[in-house]
Amino acid sequence: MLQAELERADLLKKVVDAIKDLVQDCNFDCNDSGLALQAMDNSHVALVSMLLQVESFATYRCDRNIALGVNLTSLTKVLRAAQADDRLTLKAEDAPDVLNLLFESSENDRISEYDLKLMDIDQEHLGIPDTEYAATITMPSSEFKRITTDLMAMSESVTIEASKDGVKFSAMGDIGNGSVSLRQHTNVEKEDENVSIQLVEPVSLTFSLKYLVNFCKAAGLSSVVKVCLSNEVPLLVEYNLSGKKGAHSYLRFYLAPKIGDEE
Amino acid sequence: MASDGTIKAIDRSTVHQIQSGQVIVDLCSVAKELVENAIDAGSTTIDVRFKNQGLDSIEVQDNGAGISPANYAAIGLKHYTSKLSTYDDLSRLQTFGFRGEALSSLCALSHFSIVTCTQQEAPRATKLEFETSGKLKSTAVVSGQKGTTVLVEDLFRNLPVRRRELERNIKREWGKVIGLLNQYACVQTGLKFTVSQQPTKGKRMVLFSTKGNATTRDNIINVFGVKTMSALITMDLKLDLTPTAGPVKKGTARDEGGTTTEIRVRGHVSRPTHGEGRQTPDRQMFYVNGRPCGLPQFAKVFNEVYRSYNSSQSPFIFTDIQLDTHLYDVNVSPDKRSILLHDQGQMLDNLRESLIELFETQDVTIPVAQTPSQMHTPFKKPGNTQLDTAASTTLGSIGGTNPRSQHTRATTRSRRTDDDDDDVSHDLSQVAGEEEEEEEEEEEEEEEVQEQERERREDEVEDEGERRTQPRISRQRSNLASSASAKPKGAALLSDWLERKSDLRKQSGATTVVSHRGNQVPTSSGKPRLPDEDTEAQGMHEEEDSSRQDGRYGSTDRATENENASAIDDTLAQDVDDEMEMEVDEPPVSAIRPPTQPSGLGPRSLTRSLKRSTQEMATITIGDHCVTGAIGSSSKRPKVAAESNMSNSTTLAMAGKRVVSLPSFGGRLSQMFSASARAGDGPVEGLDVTTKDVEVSFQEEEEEDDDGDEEEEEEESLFVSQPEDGDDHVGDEVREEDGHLPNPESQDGAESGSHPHGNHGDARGPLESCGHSPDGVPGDDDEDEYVDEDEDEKKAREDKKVQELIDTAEVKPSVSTEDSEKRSQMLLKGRIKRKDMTLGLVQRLKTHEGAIRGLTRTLAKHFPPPSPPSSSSTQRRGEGGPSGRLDADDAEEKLALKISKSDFAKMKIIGQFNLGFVLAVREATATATSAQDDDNPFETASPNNDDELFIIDQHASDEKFNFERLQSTTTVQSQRLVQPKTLELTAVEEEIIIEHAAALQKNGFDVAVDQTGDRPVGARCQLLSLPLSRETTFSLADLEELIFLLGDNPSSSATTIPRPSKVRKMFAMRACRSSVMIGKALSGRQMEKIVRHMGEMEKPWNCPHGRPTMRHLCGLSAWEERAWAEGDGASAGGVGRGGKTDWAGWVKGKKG
Repeated sequence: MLQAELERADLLKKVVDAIKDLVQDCNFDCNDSGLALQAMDNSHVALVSMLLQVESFATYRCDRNIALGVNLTSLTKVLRAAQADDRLTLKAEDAPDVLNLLFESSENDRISEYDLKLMDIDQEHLGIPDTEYAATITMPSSEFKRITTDLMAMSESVTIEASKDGVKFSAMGDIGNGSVSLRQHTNVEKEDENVSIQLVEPVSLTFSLKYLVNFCKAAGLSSVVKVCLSNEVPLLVEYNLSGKKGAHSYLRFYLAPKIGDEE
Repeated sequence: MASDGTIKAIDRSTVHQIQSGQVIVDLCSVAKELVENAIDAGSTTIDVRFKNQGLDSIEVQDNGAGISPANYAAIGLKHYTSKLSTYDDLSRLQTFGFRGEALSSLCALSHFSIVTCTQQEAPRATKLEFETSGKLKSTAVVSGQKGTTVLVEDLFRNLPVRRRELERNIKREWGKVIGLLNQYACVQTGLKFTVSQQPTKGKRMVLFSTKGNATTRDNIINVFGVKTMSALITMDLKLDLTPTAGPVKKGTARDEGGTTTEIRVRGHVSRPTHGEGRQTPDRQMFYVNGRPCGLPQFAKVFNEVYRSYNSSQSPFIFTDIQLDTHLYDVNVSPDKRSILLHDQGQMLDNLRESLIELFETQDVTIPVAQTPSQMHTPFKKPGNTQLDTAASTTLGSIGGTNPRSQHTRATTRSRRTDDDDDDVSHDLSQVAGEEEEEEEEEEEEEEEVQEQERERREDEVEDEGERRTQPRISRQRSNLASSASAKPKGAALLSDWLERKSDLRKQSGATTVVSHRGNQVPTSSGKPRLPDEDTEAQGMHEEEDSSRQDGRYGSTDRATENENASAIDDTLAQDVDDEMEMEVDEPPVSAIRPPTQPSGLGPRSLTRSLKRSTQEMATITIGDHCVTGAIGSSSKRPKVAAESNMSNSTTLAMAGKRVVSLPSFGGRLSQMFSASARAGDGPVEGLDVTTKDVEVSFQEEEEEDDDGDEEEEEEESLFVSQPEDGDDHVGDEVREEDGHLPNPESQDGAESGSHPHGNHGDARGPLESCGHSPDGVPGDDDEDEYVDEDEDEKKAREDKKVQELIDTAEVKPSVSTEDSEKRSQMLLKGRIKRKDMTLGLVQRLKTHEGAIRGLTRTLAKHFPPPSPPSSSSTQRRGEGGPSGRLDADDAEEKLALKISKSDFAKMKIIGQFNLGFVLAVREATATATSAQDDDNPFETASPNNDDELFIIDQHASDEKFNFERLQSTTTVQSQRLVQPKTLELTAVEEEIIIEHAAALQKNGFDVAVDQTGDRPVGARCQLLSLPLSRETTFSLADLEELIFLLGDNPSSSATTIPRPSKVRKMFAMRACRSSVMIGKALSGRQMEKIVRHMGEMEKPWNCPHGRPTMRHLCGLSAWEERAWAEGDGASAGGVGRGGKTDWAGWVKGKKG
């Protein structure tokens, strides 16, 4: 029996919107610590990992582990019926074949209720090792989004080069080259606009911009994005979902670096 | 049976039956054994006869050595053979059979009998019959030739299940048998091989036969047809084979020591070009030393290599592998179709390399543009024109009157036939005389009317046919042939026609629309009426015309055509009269034409004339509606024509004609401008009626009537009529049609002709526009005509029927019909192409009277008088010339044009066409003129005939270049997976991955294989990375496809790495996007770059999506030659000048 209530339907809507282009079907794994999701895209190049900890919910109750196999396209359709500030309650049986979604309007007593059919999704669960990243860059999510979209116009891949001087995103394409450099930057008034770079050792990796642009769809979830790089390890892009509550909910994207000669 | 379990020997008869069932399993094995026996007997003729597809009987007759009486008893016994004595002989076996089982097996399974006779016994043959056991049952003496005939009846009679099975699957079995016999027939040289089948009821039919050819090439042609052969290349590969150290050989063949290590692979294989292969992998025949067999490994190599050149098709393969007998083992299966080759792997590798080498060296042949056929027609016309020319010199100036010219041609033909001479004057005089005679004879206007009607009909039909163009042309051909025949028979037909026409006339009269009349009348009425009689006739014509316009044509063009037709009819009537008398001679005309044909005009003219005649036929139905009026006019016209002819005959034909023609033009113009345009034209023509003049008038009328098509036709006709001078005229006409008017043509008579044409066109435009759509622009007219063609076609069909009736009624002049048909066919082809030709389009754009005139004048100034006509003619020739010549002389050479990549480096860029194509000339040896592409009429003639004009698709060729660049240089980028993906593969697939790691990597797949053995087979591979491209997302399915491709293409030596279809598609897309697009104007340098790049490509012939990158347009030499010849003829241009002035005056008159 699962019963999880979110203060704002917004959160789930944005999460699903952010990942639905990468993943079609996935399992929401519910346990007593929260709601988790892990899925890879079709070509197994990118991995999405989401965790909504119990603290992120207004109320949360999960008696035993439940896997909710959801088609994200369908879920998007259902969530479209929810207003951003509706209260959202997810309900499911222990061996569910439907997921019940309840939207309660905060302004009036409007209650809408939807049942979404679930699917059996055979998905392998990867244990993601905790990695010490060589470089961790924290920056405004809007900035990251802008960099990726700007460079997307130049090339299909971007080289992220982190050094003690800062981080440089560079793209070499058919029409020319472009790069964006960021330096450590602290804005006391607006912490969200801080750029911090924690460097263990210099790193330079190349990634497909197509995926990065896709990841940036989650920019609305958090004003800050954390980008972690390390050689021979997938890039990590993390959006914090916990707001200011101090919970540890996140939406993470992993992307394997490109190899071989760059164009 | 043996329930007690003891092991006992099976009794002999049972063994016999069991084994027999193993040897003879189906129809194929019967045919195969018998044919092989026949071949082994050294026959030169083998006749295989099936009854009811072999269910009833199979009979194989040969003329081989025969069987000596001593062997009679042993023939049917099991394991008795003359071909093998010890096992060791097996390795030296030269015969097909050796097991001694076939005949005895047949004895066991069927009614089996042999009739045999050796050389010595000659006429006394012996018939042998056998028991089931194979023992000789009886012998009887019969008569027979040397050789053996084996008859197998009632196959499987004692095996009901198999018999039933055979009957049920007989169709499939039959197909297999034929396929098998095809194989024997193809490989056996010096053997006359015939296969025939007799159904239970019905006639015996021969399925195929070879003729004892000396080469397999001829065999293939006999069996599969020339078309198949033309797509094949001959293959003669030598594979060096070093026998492996210890080949496991059972036989003692080793003893021979110096064994042959050279293996020859000879035969034929499809050209490695897109479109030359077959859709299915049938017709793949493999032989080892002439023995048909299945060699799947070889087939695979062939198919793989071939597919790398032509990915969408399978090759035709005919391969005889000739190698020493000890290098293979035949004794594998009873049917001997499985053969084990020693060192096959090495052999296959060598074969693959040799094949690739062979295919690489294949220059791509490009089908020569068919446009030449179009050209031909014009050439043919010249031939006609020659005869006509003398008469038609004036005509030449008139130029535009194609339909008439056709008529005139017909007449000229007839004349020619009579005289067989080129002197138009003679012909004319004769014609005139004939006409006069005819007129006198006819006295009865009815006959004339009939003739006229016919003529009109013909004209109309022709005009219609012209408008309809291609489809009609074919009909016209038939019609023409029929018409040609019909004409001579004419009188009776004419009477019939008259009757019909009268009806038609009535109808038409009822239907006539004034407006139509107004438009049409001027031309048509003018022509017929003017001569004399014709006020009534004109009225008739007008009515007819109007009716035609209303009912049939609906478009002014038609009306004009009708008018023309009427005018033509008049002339035709005259001609017809002449023809009536002379028609018998038409065949000779055709004969005359052939010589002219090389120029290309001849055929067209013939076809046209034929068409006209057919048209006449067709017009009969039409005539019902409209013709009646025409009949009256026609009758008058003929008379006039006769008169004119008379006058001409008395006076110099040339002069008279010219004089007459000029006035006629003026008259026409005046008439045109006046309310009754027809009358004007008619009279003029009538005046012209002198045979030559008549032609001219016809031409003019035609031009006026049919803007584009008619003009072309007219041109053609003119050419025909004026062989020498006529060519020039024709050229002028052509130019006019094309809008080249300004060119050299204008200088002399040609020029004048062209101007007049242009004027006519304009004049027509207004006239036509009044009635219908403005046809002033030739292009528009053409379109209208096309639109109308459907109706015309219907009419044509009706006409055809009528023609058929007529034909049956009348005796056809066979010679003329044949020629005419051929020519008409030529015309059809040419015509179609013509319309498709880009030249025509360009011409349309350019045509403006003023501009043309100015050009012509300037040209006239700059060019010497003789040259202009030549140039004018050149255009025509240019279009039709090459083809025409091709037909005559080097058709075969030209049919397939060889182009090698190195040619691209030497090609001369002419320019861009339609913003999409590059025109380039491959120069043979000397310098060729450049200006073919843009309807440049003036090409300087180049001495060399081999210059070929090509049109190259700028996008496709650039795309292919980019594609090949991408293919070769791009390493698909790898995108590592977040986590290695363990692949679930079969053991075989894993092996493939291990073998081809490099190829996989090149395609962007990175697979790690666990070789430690820790992981179970099937899970040893982990995918580390996938290819990644902008829009394309790859998945495991792509890896699976690539693994399949790699498994399918095992040779590690393969030249190119297989690319999964997605990668290929991606490259193709990228190449397409980055290439020069259609519609982009290119500078000379850019065009040159594109063409040069083609020489650097591996396979420049098709774009990655399969479109051809280039096509051959035509050869330039013929063009030039024509121009030359016409230039000579141009001397007669004086006439053309006269025509020119006339035209101008005519135009003015119209405007006024």
